[in-house]
Amino acid sequence: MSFRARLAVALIAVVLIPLVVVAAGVRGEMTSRLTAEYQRRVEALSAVIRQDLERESASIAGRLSTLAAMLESDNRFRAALKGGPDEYGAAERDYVVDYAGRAMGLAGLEILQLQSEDGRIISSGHFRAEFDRLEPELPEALALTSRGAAIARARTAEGPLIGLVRADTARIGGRAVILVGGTALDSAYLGSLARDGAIRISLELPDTTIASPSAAADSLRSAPAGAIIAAVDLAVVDGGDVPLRPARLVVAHPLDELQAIRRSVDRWFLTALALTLVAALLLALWLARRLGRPLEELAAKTAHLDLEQLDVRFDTDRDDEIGDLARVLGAMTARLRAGAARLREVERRATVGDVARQVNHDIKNGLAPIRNVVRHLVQVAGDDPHALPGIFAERQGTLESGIAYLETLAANYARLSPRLDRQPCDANAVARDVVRDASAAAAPAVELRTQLDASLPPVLGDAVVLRRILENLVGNAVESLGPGGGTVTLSSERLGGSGDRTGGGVARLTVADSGRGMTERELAHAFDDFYTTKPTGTGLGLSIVRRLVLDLNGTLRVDTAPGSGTRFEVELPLAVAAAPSLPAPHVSGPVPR
Amino acid sequence: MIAITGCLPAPRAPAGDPVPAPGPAVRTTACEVLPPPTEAADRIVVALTEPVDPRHVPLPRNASERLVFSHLYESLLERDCTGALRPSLLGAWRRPAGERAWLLTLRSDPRWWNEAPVSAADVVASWHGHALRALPDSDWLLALVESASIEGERTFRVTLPDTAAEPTVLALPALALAGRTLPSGWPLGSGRQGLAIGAPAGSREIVTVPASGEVPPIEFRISPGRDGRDLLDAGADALVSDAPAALEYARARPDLAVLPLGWDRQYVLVIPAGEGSAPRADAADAALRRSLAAAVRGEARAAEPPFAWQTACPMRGAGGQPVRARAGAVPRIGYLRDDERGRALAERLVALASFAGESPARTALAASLPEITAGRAPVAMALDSASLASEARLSEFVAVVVSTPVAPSDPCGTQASLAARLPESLRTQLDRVIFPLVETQSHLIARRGRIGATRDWRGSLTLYGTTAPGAAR
Repeated sequence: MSFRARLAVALIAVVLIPLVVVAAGVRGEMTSRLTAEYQRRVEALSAVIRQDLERESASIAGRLSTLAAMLESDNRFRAALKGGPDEYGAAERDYVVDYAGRAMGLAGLEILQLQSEDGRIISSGHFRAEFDRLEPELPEALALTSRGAAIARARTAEGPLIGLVRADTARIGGRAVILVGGTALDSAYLGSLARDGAIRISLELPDTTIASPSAAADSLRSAPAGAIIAAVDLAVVDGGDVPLRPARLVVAHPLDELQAIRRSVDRWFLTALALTLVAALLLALWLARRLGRPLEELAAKTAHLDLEQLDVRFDTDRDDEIGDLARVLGAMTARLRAGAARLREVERRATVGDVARQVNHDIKNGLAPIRNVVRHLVQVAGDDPHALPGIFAERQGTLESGIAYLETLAANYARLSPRLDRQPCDANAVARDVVRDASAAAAPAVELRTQLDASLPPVLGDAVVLRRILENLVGNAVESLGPGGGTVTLSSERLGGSGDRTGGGVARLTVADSGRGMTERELAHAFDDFYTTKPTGTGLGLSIVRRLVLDLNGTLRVDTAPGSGTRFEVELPLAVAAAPSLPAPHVSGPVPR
Repeated sequence: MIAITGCLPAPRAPAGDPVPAPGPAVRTTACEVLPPPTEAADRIVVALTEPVDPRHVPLPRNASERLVFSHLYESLLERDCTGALRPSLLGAWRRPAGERAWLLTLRSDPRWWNEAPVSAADVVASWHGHALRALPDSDWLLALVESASIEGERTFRVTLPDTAAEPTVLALPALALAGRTLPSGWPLGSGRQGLAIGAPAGSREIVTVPASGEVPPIEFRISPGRDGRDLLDAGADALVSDAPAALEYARARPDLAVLPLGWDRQYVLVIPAGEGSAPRADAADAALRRSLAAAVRGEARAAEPPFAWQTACPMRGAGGQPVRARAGAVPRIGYLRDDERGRALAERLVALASFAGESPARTALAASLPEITAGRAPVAMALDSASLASEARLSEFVAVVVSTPVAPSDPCGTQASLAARLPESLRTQLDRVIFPLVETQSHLIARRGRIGATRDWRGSLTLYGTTAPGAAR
């Protein structure tokens, strides 16, 4: 795990853990307090509703009592009842059948039916067409209730009607007429009991439930949150084998409001969590960058350190651990610099020693014949002074040869460190001079040829250096031909242009011979200093050529094989980014001697 | 369809034909239900508590329309309470020896309300107008008139399916003369009481224009939903009502007379998904119908045969399957929204369906209408009259209570009138989807001395008053 990741994880953990603990605590405390408050509210309301129902029951009883008195005093009803349904005229029939409807409206009831002693419905206010129905169960069940009131189902043409009903009795002509009446316990009535839109009142019967039409009821049905409830026990007339069954009025406070608050808290918590996460990440990134950047800079500087480049500085003014580290690295670099200087001095001294030993050896070799000739001449001068001119003449060639060797040796050593004067120069002109001089000194069996590109632009270089390069290569080529002679060809050509990979273009100078070629081993050491395969060679020719070509920012390539001759290609940059020019014919042919 | 085989101008009626003298209807004492008025009146005000729709001409759908239409539109012949035919629009009628067709001659001066003369071609065109206006699917006319050919300006020949000695069918209101529709929505007529040509449409007051100055105009005030007692107290000379309270009120007052208008409405149950081959009426039970009649406010009795929809009439229809009932829903028994009697009957059916089995009416209901008693307890629900003709809407109901005129003398017209209100798929199988329930009658409450009234053979009343001497039309 990276330093930045570790820093981010640590920051997030430090910030989030307290936040989660606080949110959980607030949520739990809020739930506990609200639940307790809801419980108090529903219990208080259920007590009020119980009193409401008792008052309503007493009111129904009073109205039924009044209606019974009115019925007993109604002579038209009395006469019709005495005659019986079969003796009704249309007017009497309508009067009796409509009686309950009129009385129900007068008394402010929503359920009212008049029944004979045997339970047959004489007149029904809530369902006019239900006359003649035999229903003794309802008044019998009402008689069993402790307070005289019960929940009962009434029928209407549009469907069932559930209400709180009581019964009373009127005595007419020695016969009893039972009045069963009450008020509807419908959704609207339950809603009026609730008094609070947030509370739901529902009447739970054995086979159905009626609920108040509050908005909370919808949410209660749809949400699985549940509710805080309290119940009022009632009895319902069932009409089956068991006359009365338990029912209950449930006062419920849905927890959807609490759930909404919880969801709101959760939303705020998640929002705070997200913001904190982002802030922690940004802070971690900032800190990591602030701490990591100096380390990255130290690492980058350290990556550049090697023995050839120890001038890296680790200066700092920080007074922290990173500053200490920079100072340690700076001290380490200083120690490395001192060690490298000592190492280079040792190497220089070793190299100078090698050169000195070589020079000593070469000079001794060059001086030995000279010293022998001089001793011989001294001896002849002492023994036979008259023979001295003849002997001198005889040994003069040896002297001159030794002196020439030493001069050549000195010149070669001097060439180890040439001085560059880089400027545009005509490579073709230099090539022609070199070939002309070489032809003059070469054996007759050697043929030197040129194939020069007349349109070759000037190259960027030094004419003396370029001449030394070509003299060495041509000289080596001539020497490689052997006694049988052969052909040496010096050619020039222009490669590429401004648009190719060579940039401004290069000039290629090629020295090819038909000599014996080189083996792989010879080629591997061909450019080493002092390596030579020739009895009179110094081993510095190709070494000098390689250095000079590199000094001119050129390239040198060799193509050789034993018996197939050797081909050296020198590519030098052109002096100017020459404009494209028409190709010119190559000039080729034997070089005149 | 009616075949018109003559063109105008037509030859005059053959000379020497026995043409009775034309004139207004003859009032006979035997048919008087109210004595002639003793008190002159500028206008007779008749209050109606049911809606009156001129689009129903010539077939009324309630007692109010029946009263209004009978005063505005002339039938070809009149038939009094004794059954005797009298001239009306026709001045003469005879069947030449050896022929089936009747040669009919208009009276000498029949005129439309706009004073244009009425021709024989107008009469035949009027019947076509009925077909186009009142009952679009009206092949029922073929049951009344097989063919008609115009012989002259006032003479035409008519072949009737009924080969009786007298052309009693020509006294039917279904063949009454009604012409083009006026801007007021009323068809042009030719009766003794007319309407002003420029009367506005949709008016709740229909004021007639009498053809002569001997009788005052009649103002029909349409007041649906109003208490009839209030209308009487407000000065109405007559009231058509079936409200028990109004009738009881009238009976208690000596200046008012209560005249039954006859058992003119029949309530039936349309069972859209009804199946089986047996006619519904065969399964009818008197106990059930009596129980249903008891639920109706006002006078009602069990429906009695013959039933119009069981008459073989040349009805045209697509036939097909009964309406498929919607499965799974609470069964509904429907009634037309403004029909209180229909509502009482629907509710009584709902009540009987939930009765325990000991009730004879409940037992009869289960036997006759298992669609109602099987399954869940039904509920009653109102529907619009337009929904009655919608097969999709009707499929929501297990049964619907509707009313139809009691017209034993015009069963095909009655049948067509009922069929036209139902989906086309039910029209050709009325006897299988209709169950008769009860019949009701309305009453005319009339102010004594202000109105005279006669009754015709169908029980329809003709009202008249008298004007002060010198009063002009």
